[in-house]
Parts: sequence; C-alpha cells; structure tokens
Amino acid sequence: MKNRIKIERAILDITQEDLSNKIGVSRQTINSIEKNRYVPSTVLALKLSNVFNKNVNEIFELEKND
Amino acid sequence: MITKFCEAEYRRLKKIQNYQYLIPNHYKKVGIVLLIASIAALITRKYLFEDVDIVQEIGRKGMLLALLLITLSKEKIEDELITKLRGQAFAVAFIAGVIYTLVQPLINYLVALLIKPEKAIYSDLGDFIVMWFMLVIYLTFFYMFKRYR
Repeated sequence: MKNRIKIERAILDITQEDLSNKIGVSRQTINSIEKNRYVPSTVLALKLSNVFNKNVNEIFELEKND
Repeated sequence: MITKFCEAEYRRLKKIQNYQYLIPNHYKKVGIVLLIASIAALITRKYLFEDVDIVQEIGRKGMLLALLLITLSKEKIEDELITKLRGQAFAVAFIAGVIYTLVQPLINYLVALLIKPEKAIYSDLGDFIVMWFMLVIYLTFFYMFKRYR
C-alpha cells in the first residue's frame, strides 16, 4: 500500500511530531506509516483524513500485490 | 434461556478480551528498582549466606514480579503500533518458552552425558527459569521491535 502522508504533510507544512500530536500517536508511528512499514487501522486512517481534509482513498492507495 | 446464557457468556468473553491489563508508565521505574534489588539480594546470598534459602526465594519471586511490572507498564505513548508490537513480542516469547521447555532439558542431559556420563540425569526445567526466560524474551523482542519499528 502506498501513501501520500509525506506530501500531505508538506502541503500543510507540519512535521511528523506535529501530526503525531494531532492524532494522538507517537512520532515513530507516523514515520513507520510514511515508510510503508506499518498499515494503520481504519480509525487512524480516518483521523489522518480529517487532519488533511481529504478522503482516505486520496491518502492511501492499494498496490498490485495487496 | 439458552440464548440468554450464550449472551452472558459472550459478554464475559468480550470483557476478558477488552480488559485493559496494562498499568501506568511509572511502574516501569518501580519494576527496574525491584529488579536491581532482587539481583542484589541474589548476588549477596551467593557470596554471604549460601545456606539461607529464603533469600533466594524472595530474590527469585521479586525478580519475576519486577519483570512482570516492566512488561505490563505502558509506554509513554501507547498507540496502536505499540499494541501490535506487544502482541508480536508476546507471541515470540510464548513460542520460545514452549520450545525452550522442551529442548533445553535434552541439551542439558546430552551435555552432561558428554562431560560426566555417570552423573547425567534427565530433569525438567524449574518454573522460575521458564517464567524468567519468557519474560526476558518478551522484553528483549518488544524493545527490539520498538527500536526498529
């Protein structure tokens, strides 16, 4: 699964730390999601979608092998 | 009647499943202090009062309790990734514990056969060593998973 979190963060000009504080997780968790090492739960994906004000589908995208 | 019984059972099961078994983060420090005290008690016993079994008992139980406190204490930010890593570390520790319990006595026996065949006897591991092993494996893997998350 691909994600655009880094890009969306850049658009809002916020750091991983800022984003993690907004959705109540650790900075390392945001880093793991950005690097595709961890697939977040639907709840966390919806929280991210709220912060970026975009649909979940616009932030996360399935890849061929998913 | 049966439906009500099933519903009650289901509710009980869900209660166990959703039970928050973690304790506040500051218990980690309590656990570390207790762990150091237990190790100190066990070392002191080894060199000073070798025939006092109660010191060994208290030291061992204290060490298990300390490791359990560290295991169950929350991280500063306890998020869903940490919960997942905890689950994975518990699984590794459980499987490693069972394999260790099955294999280690055999290894001990074979090594004893090679070194002192006349004194080689097969004996199972004690409960302390198995519990200690599982807790240590859990903590090692949890902190490794956390570091490379």
